[in-house]
Amino acid sequence: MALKLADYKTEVHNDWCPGCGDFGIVNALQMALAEMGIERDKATIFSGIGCSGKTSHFINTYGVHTLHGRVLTFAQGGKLANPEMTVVAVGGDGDGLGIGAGHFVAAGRRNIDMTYIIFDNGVYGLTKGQASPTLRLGEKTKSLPSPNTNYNVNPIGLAVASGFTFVARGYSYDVRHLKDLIIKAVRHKGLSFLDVLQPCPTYNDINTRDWYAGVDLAQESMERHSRIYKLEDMHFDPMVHYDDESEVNEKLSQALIKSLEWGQKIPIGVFYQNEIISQYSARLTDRIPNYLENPPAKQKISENGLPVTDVSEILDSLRI
Amino acid sequence: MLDKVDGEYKRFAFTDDGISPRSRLGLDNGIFWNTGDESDEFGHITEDPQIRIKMMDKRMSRLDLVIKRIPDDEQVVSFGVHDYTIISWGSTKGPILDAISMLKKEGINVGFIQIKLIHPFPSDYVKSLLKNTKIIIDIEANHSGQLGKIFKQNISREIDYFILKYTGRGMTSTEIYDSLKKIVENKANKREVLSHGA
Ligand SMILES: Cc1ncc(C[n+]2csc(CCOP(=O)(O)OP(=O)(O)O)c2C)c(N)n1
Ligand code: SF4
Ligand SMILES: [Mg+2]
Repeated sequence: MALKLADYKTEVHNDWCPGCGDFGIVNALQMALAEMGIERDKATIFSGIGCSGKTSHFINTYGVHTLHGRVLTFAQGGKLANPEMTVVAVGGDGDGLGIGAGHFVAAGRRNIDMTYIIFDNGVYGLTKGQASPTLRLGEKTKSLPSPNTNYNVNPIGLAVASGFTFVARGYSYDVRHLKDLIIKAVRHKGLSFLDVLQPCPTYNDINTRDWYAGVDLAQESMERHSRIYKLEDMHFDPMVHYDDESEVNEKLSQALIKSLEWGQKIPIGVFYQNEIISQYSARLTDRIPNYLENPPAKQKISENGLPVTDVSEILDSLRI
Repeated sequence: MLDKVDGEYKRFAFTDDGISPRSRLGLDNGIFWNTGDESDEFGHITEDPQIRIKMMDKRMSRLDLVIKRIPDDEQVVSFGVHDYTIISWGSTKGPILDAISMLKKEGINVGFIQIKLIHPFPSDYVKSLLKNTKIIIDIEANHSGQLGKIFKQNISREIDYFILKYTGRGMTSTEIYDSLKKIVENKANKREVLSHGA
């Protein structure tokens, strides 16, 4: 029976603030799962801690709401244990780029075939609006007593530098475009990263929906002037086409340069894609040839409620 | 651990023994949710007070099950019980046994129970083992006598002597022997602190 969009929704009460950008991201994710026809019991949504962390409860697939900053560790574990699963990790910008930044970099180096989506709202939404790592130096959002004293992390640049092999940015109010990006990210063979610009109407009074739409610019120039534009409309080619150092370096550096654009013009779309770099599963099968046929999730670990692993022989051999 | 799931599945279902059949990621029809906050039977995050009470009661009821399921001799290993009996845990076992055999050669019998299950504490079993013991000696590699505190909290009985070492070095059988001998001769401090090792 073909699955419909409604099949991917749960009945769990949603307590996000009205107008929160998170709604658009959840909708896009559900639409993407439905469009790809992924079986509900063959996908897991892992989430971090934050407003964004509730996402896993709203999607009717396996869902694991993990620890602050640790979503990538659980998600990578889940995928390694059962490589058949479609794994999507989601979390806040504080979760992934503050406390979880070390895991972010380590995940890039592994290139496990899964998708990571950061809900980028510039604040710690759940804990009442402190500056997140993506808020710019000198900016003062609603909850801050004085302007931000830290320089911002560049999520796209960090992903590219850490070895992520698909790096893109979406906008939570362009749900269709975001849905298409998610599908591309999930279909990408390797670790894909999506930085999603997500207005937080409650605490971020700078990067608002109107700001992204360029309402302030329009007032000056009297014409519609969205800050957001699509890389694909500019014929930007993010793909590494052949295995050559200069080709890779060119695509990496153009992604980095594009990622620095901010202010009047903000690019969304795919910044970088490289399917030539080996996936982690290929690196594993080099060592464990039957890994994909017999991954940990398919191995029997208990019988009649007791573990099947018996270490008594090893212990006996150590007895003195 | 389930191999297959039919019909509606609740990962954290309320059951008589407090244990819910477990699915795993990818099992057909076995969808569940996990969260670090309190959850309902499906695993969805909740703050409902009634569910919270039932979930906590279910969780904590498993402590009784643990005591019942783990064999007594894996909870506590008894190396004999005498008027003087040592309680201890962990790496101290070897030198304690050596010190006991040194004393035995002199005709002094000291008992020893090694407590392996700390929580839930096997109170009834430990109490029954020590019912004829007159002097309890707690030997531990830490400053405060952590096991002694847990012992007292659960058994309502005082530790008579502590032999403690917290220099980062392992205990030696001879220093344990020396302290035990002082205890038997009624010359020891309530708290004997060991210091062997350069
Ligand atoms: C280890 C740990 N440290 C701190 C917290 C408190 N905490 C909860 S959510 C959060 C930050 C949320 O911000 P973000 O990750 O950007 O998610 P958002 O709410 O904006 O979606 C913090 C610091 C925690 N739950 N765990
Ligand atoms: S605080 Fe911000 S991020 Fe959190 S639900 Fe409200 S609007 Fe959304
Ligand atoms: Mg945030």
